[in-house]
Parts: sequence; structure tokens; C-alpha cells
Amino acid sequence: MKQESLPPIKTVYHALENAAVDIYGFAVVCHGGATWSAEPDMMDALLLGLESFWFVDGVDGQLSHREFREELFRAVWDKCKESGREKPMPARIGTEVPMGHDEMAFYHLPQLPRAALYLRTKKRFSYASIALVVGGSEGVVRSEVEKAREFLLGRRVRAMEWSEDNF
Amino acid sequence: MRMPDRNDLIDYVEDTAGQDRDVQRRILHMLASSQVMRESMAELKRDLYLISAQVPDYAPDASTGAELLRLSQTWIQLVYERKFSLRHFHRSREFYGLMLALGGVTLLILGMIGFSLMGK
Repeated sequence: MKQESLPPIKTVYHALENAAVDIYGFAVVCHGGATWSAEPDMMDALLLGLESFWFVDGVDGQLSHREFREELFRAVWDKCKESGREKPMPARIGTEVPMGHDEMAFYHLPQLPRAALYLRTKKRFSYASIALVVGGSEGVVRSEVEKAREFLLGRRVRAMEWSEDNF
Repeated sequence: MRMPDRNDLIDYVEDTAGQDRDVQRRILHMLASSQVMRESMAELKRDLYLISAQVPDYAPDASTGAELLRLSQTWIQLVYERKFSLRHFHRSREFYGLMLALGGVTLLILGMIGFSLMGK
């Protein structure tokens, strides 16, 4: 999207819709399952994306956030991360979203491992991209995801024994 | 070419391998001819599936769509106002361009006056 020419409202709406579908789950997960507090932060991030021209024409000629996807996720993360708040944000289980028993353990994780595991599992982000979003090193992110997996599984993820050694 | 380690195996099963993804994939295909390797990969897949099943995902509802439409309308209106309205003209790029041009012309005139005074 060039600054000089503005696209029609329908194009902007479709780009925003795709971006919203992409970042919605992440915002809700960061907010501990509370959609009522996640949605305003998500809208702020989308507006920031519009203002910063993170929506650009892709190869198919459609306006899209794909090129600046990490920046958009980072904006959501910056909006709802715990460090800027006085108290750590607790998990708000059962406030808005109907949750099954399987999802309860996930919301017992702290915010950072929760966000990292969500990005890895549902959005297929690489560890480098997750580190870019949450603002840490790749090694820290990898160990956080590993610990979160151990917590949810109750043991370490299985792998071949020979692969533990460096060949 | 190195043998895949534990993290490579997990990356491969999750289908989010890094730079040397193709090399790892080729090695893993070769190793997959072994029964032991196939069983281990199946166990790994099962573990990651059990974890993935516990991670929730959400989709926005119709009210979010309405908010998005309002947001896109507001944004376009805001940009057009900044661009064309006299009230917001001082915030537009055209205003800064005009200021730059006026500044340039003023400097040029001052320079010309200075040179003519020096000539006398």
C-alpha cells in the first residue's frame, strides 16, 4: 500500500479481516482467554498496522499483512504483555470463552511460554520468528517451549535416544 | 552433512524446520527405512499431537467484523481528512512540501540579495 494512493474501503476491510483472523487467537491466549480485554488490544494493533503501512500488496495483488506478520504479532504482544502492568495478568478461565477440561492446563502456564507454544503449535512460527515477536533470544524461546511441552504432556517429548548425542 | 538431532526431529514432525530443512528431510527419509526410526517418529508425532490438542485456538465472531468495518472506515476517513481538509492541512505531507518550497525560495532570495550587496 503506497502512502500516496489509498485503496478502496472493501480492500482495506478484507486485509483487516484476514489479519484479524490471524492474530485473534494470539491476542486471546495472551489475555488468558478473556476476549473482552483482548479485542481492544487487537484493534489497536491493527490500527497501528494501518498507520505504519504494514499492509502491502502481495504477489497476487491483494492487500495483505503477510510481509509484516511478525511486526503485527509483536504489536499485539507489546500491548498485552505482563511487564508493563502492575500485577501479573492471571488466567481468566471461564470468563468469556467456553473451555473444556483439556484447555485448563494450558492456562496454568505463564504468559510467555503460553504465547510461544501457541505460536509454535497453531501458527507454525519458527523459533527465530517467535523470538522476534516476544523479544527474547532463540535459545530462551526454545527452552520455554520445551518446558511448556513437558508441563502439558507430564513428561519429556519422546525422541530417539541416539539423537541426544552430537554426531 | 550432519545427522539430525532431537530438535531437528521435532521440527521435522511439526513441519517447521529451519534453513537446512531439505537436507534434514532427505536424511530422515533415508532413516525412515528403519523400523525403529519409524516407530520413534510415530511416538513423537503422537506426543506433539497430544500437546497440540491442549492448545486452544479462537476465531473472531460477527461483532469483531463490525468493529473491523468501523475501523477501516475511520482510518480511510482520517487519512482523507488529513490529505484534503483545510483544518488538518498542517498535518499533511503537502503542507511540509509547501513549507520546504517556501523556505527554499526565501533562502534563494536572501542569497541573491546578499550577492548583490557584496557586488556593490
